[in-house]
Amino acid sequence: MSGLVTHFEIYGDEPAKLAAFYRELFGWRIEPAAGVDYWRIHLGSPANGTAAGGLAHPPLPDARGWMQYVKVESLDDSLAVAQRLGGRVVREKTAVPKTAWYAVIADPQGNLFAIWQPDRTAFPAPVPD
Amino acid sequence: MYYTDDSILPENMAPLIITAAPYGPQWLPGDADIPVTWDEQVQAAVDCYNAGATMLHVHVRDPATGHGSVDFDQYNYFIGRLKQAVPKMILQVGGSISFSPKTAEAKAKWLDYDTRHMLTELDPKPDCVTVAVGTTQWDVVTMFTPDDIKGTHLDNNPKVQAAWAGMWVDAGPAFYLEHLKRLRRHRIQPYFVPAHVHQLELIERLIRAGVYMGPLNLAIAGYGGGTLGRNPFDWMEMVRRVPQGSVATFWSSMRGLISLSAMAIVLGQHVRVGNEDNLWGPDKKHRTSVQQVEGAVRICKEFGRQVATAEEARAIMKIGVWYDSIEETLHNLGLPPNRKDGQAGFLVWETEGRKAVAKTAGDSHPMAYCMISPETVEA
Repeated sequence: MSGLVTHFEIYGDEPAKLAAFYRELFGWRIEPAAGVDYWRIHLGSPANGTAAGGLAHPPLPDARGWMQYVKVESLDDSLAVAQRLGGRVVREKTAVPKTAWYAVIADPQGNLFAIWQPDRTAFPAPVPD
Repeated sequence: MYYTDDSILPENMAPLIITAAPYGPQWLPGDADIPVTWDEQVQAAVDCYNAGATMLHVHVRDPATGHGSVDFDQYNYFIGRLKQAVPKMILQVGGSISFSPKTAEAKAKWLDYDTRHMLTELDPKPDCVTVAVGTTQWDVVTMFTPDDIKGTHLDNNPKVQAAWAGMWVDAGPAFYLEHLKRLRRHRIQPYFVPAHVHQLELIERLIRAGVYMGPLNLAIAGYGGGTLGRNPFDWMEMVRRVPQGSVATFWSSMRGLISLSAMAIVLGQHVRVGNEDNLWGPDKKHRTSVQQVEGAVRICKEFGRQVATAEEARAIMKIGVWYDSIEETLHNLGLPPNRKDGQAGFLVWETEGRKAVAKTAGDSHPMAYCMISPETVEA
């Protein structure tokens, strides 16, 4: 269903330290994902909580706070509507490989949020190195 | 290389070393069998090894972004996993990577080519890193036929094709002199990738100057567009020019790779296959990296040549071996010695001066043998 918040992310220059902060504060299970700079946040009980968010380095220079991801049917259509209504695209359409497309938008008052379109075929275009 | 009469008999050839290149950084998952997650990337190595490949050309894809990784830590992580999963396989890391510094300290510290030199500090260490010597245009698109990219993201996409056509490899002396020095310091062997005879000459000059002292393992690069093309006479000239003691691999693209691999196999040279270089079989149907390795094994067996085990491949390439002098390097590579001051003529290694007795049977004219008086035979 579109319009629902799917997950959230928290950013910091030292995500591992931030993970310790939230673990102690809320009792969340926060574990580093293997081989990538990303910590998965599991809400609920430490043993069985489902992954509902993540901790990472800031994807944008001034990204601070909690980023909410909202599910949409079509990322392209939602970007167009957001811009027509005065929103600003802060991060262009980007792939999470074989998972989803996302983009970051600033609303007319400057609040950042992300939109998320699940897509098993999502993949970035290769670029020459 | 110098071929004697018996060099092209399969039983006299070194077993075939198959390099697998299964990480195709230029392709999308819909184009080819591209591994994305860490487990998939590790499994690709395992599958190629089980099929007969003994060397792995390593590129690292960031599973979180899908792009080629520029993260030093991710390289270390992936090499660590490879060493666990395929401990005997020779790991050859693609040297075209520039790492992205993460911290402000690293940004201030890594200057210019330092982002590339960081390859020499990978931990755990790979066995070798590819090193280009000589800046080269590397237009991979120029040798593609329409069939080669049919159904891929390059098909009917002139903008993307133009981007790949404009690729070039920056490898001037400001890069490779320092890079070779650091590789030696960290005991990671360079794996050279000469794209024409003049880059081979550059490598020989580095050896004669003592900049590089070690075994010479190389891939002859025939991707067109500034590198070697598919003219077999040019490949034969490269084979003629590579030193006798070197280990050479034929490296080309798309279906041209199939013919050139067959050439390499019957000439006693070695091959590199996989989706980084080719997506197809001779019938123009998709071939996975593993299927391409299996194809090389089949040709080899049909011809009667052995396929190298990992231990044999390491011995043939002299993995882990370094030399301590220019002379030792030249001697081991079968190259003539450097010229001494005032020395005239074509150069050979000094011997004790004795004439060897030639074979008594043969169709040549052993003149030296005739100069030795035959012993008197009593009736």
